[in-house]
Amino acid sequence: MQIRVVKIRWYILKILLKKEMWRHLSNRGGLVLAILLVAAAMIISIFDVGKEKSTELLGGIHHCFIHGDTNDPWFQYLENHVPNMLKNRLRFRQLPQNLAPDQFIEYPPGTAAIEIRSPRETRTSKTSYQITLIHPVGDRAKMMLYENWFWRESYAFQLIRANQLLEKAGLGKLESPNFTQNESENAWLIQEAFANLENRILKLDPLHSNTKNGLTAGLPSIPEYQIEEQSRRESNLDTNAAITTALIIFSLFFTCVYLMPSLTCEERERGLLLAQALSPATSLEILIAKFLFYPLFGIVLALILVGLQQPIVLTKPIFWIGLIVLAAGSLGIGMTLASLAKTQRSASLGALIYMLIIALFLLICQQLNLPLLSSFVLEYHAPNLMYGILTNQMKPLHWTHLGLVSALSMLWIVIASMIFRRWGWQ
Amino acid sequence: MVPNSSDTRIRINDLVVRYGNYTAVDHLNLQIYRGELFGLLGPNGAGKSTTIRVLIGQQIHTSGTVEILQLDIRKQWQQIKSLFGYVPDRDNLFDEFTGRRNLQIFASLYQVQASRINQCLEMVELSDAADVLVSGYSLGMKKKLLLARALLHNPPVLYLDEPTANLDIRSAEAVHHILKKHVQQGNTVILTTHNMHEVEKICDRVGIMCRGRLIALDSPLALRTKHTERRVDVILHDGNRHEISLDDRHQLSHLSEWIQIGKVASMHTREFDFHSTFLKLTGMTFE
Repeated sequence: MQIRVVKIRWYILKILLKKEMWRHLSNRGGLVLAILLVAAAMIISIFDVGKEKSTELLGGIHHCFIHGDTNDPWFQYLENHVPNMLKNRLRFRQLPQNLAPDQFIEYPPGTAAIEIRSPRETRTSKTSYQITLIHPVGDRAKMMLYENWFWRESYAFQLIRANQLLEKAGLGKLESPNFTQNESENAWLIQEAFANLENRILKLDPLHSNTKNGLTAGLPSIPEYQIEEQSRRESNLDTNAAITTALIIFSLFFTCVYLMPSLTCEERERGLLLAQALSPATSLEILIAKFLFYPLFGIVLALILVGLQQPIVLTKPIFWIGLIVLAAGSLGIGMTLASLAKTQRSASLGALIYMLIIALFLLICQQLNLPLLSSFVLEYHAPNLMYGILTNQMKPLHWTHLGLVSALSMLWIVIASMIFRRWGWQ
Repeated sequence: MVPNSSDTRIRINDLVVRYGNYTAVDHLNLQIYRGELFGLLGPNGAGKSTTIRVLIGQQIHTSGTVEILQLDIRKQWQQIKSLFGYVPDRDNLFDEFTGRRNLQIFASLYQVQASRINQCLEMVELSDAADVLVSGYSLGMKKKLLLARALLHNPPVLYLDEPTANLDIRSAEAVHHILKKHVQQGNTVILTTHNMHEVEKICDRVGIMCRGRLIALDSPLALRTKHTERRVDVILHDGNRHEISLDDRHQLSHLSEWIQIGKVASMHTREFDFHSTFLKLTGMTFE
């Protein structure tokens, strides 16, 4: 096997890097946008924008988790009675076995949860459940849709169960209350009806007056519910970190996915790449110069933005790793676009089309509850990862994001190299 | 003088370039020598641009071999790159930079001394406009800057595509002078052009291509000798026109008689016309 030694000459790289810099100093559009980004970061930093309004950017509750600690018939009934409109919005999961009673799961921003736990000790012989309604601060009203469904179906379950037992005991059947359209949308009314269910059963029990402890044996007992409400503030969006995340991702996107393909295609269109390719500079050196310049430009810009917002983050190695990996991924996307587009115009449009396609894809994945599909997209992991780093909340999930970002970035670089080899210098 | 093989700068052997079923260059054999200014002519689609693209490494040929200074274009491309300069027909300069900066970039890539930049600017008469942005240059100035860029490293082989298109007469003369001087220094220049007058004036040898094939290869003088029509057009006082062949004794004696008796009103020899010859050779004449 013949090993080909590839020689990279620093003096050539230096000239090509200088040339890129001169081009940006002459065409100041790119620099103006970079300065505007820095100005935005300075304004956010000086005026401390959004420190208190942490949920405003979320835009409601897009998913509700139903978490139970036992997979009992009630939980199964709930899982099997989800209306079509909520099918993609409800997620049923089991609570971890080792979760202490005072411990709660941390839910992602923009989600709510109904946790169903059966307490280990009860004062009475009745089954008792602890229902915790968890929602983001200020979004209580938006949770009503899920809460209403939860109480209505729980009521229906208990009613069916009670009727089965009542019929077995030959005591007749309870009628289902006819809620009006407005009433059926009112979780409080259903909850009230739920609370009265046991009284209705008691009225059917002929021996009730003789028993002091409640219902006669064999008749249905309605469980007790201890309802608790929690507003989540801690896991909500930290606006500052979110804006910084957006600025970082935008700066990398702008330099690597927009500027780089656009200017490379312009060079190709005007024959400037040919002029360089005919000089002593090799294709590889020209490519490396571009590979060095644009991610570096994006990284420096991102560092300035982060430095203005949260300078302490710059001391964290994980931030640097994340930033470099993201820059590599953006470069891969940019190089793919640069190789596929024939003109500067198609490169610029390609970058915008790519951005819109990704936005639509992520939206569809979210709406159809397809988290696995969205994990194939770099842009899904990038904000999660950066946000985790900036908020100093690196959890196993964020490490997973880092791993997937690295893998996807590598994949983009490989795709870009393959496409570049085929069409790159045409 | 017959050049010896060591003087061969470019050797093209049986070159074939095909685009699918279309043959752009069809078994071309050509040698171009040291100190030669070679003109490559041909109508559009004749294959001359494809040939130049092969020579500058931008077109992979289907078969045949191409050597520049005994270096194989496929195997030793990186070594060949510093040995030639190229002036394209369409400008490919950094418009946002000054003329000087354009040259600075390439001078650094070729590792040429900074003084050479001024020399080249002076050579193409652009010293005064050196610090003006190229976007403000006229087409002619851009052409001259392209020539300066190609000459920066004093290449032994220089390819030019329509070098004097868009240039005024004075600038065209200056370019001709530069090219001649470059050739006198022992370098080789190959130019493609549609300007027959230019070819006749400055080229040492001319190759005419048509449909991918080389249909004529000679010096302009030899072509003149070969293709000048030895005929005289005679108009007599009575209005009759005659075409007299200089190789026909009988017709010549007639002409002599007419002259002696003062019957000839006007008489014109048929001068060599490169343009007509080109059209005739390429089969493009309109009969």
